[in-house]
Amino acid sequence: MKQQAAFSSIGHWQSIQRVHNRYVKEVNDTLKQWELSRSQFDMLYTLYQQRSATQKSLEATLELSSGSISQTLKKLMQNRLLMRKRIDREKRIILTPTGETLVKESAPVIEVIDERYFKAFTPQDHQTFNQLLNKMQSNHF
Amino acid sequence: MKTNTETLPSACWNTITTYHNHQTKQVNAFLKKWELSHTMLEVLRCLKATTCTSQKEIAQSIQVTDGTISQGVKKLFARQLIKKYRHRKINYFHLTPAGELFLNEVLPAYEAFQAQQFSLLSLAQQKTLYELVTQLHTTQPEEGDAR
Repeated sequence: MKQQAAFSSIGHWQSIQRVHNRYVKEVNDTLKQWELSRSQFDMLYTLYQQRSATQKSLEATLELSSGSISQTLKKLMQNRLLMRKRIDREKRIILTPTGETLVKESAPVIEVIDERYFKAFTPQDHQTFNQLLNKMQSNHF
Repeated sequence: MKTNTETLPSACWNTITTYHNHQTKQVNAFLKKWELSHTMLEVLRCLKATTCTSQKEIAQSIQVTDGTISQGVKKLFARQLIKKYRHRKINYFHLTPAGELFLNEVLPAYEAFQAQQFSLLSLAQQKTLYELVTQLHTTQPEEGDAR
């Protein structure tokens, strides 16, 4: 027998979408004071955590196309927040001191926003939430 | 900054964004046969729920910028699915009878499509996910208080 959802699936999707749009808008508005977009911030933050990365590994971590990665990279390099460096014969990308200062200044502010949304979540809730959303993406209709 | 490792909330946000982008792509692909984008459908749904409203109110209601919906609004207007009337320098929109008919055709198919998307989860899991998302909404200040 086909299972029937007790609530509207459109409503369910809309609810997820609304919270996502609201969060993105809030983060983008907040990042304006550092003249950053969310995708630029995510890249800087990733490089801060990983210390260095290759263009390929950034693609994997940030789950973005090579096109949008190279565009973001270009912009951040123009603004002298990132630079390329050869480490062990590999061309890697690292933060400049200015980039590092910017992450140290902005990341705690973004973390406060991130945490505010999830403040009612237990660690178990986080795990369940991630599992369910990941499961939803295993579809290929 | 607390640690050098990613915090749980920011990891969750990455999951949401990835899921959101994935799902939006699926929705847009599904709506192609009606030459609709996800945003255009949201505009129509918003107009169905409230009899008539301004572009700004529509944008607020679906949580996007005015700019994001203006293209879609133009297309819907050109297809005569929506009508506008001007009052005190503000354009208000409402569905035309053709728009109503069109939406009545699209919505059941769209609901079935969304149900299929969620069917990878059991009903209990869908309920859990719904409750968790609701929690994310309720921990936020009221709309309007948000920065």
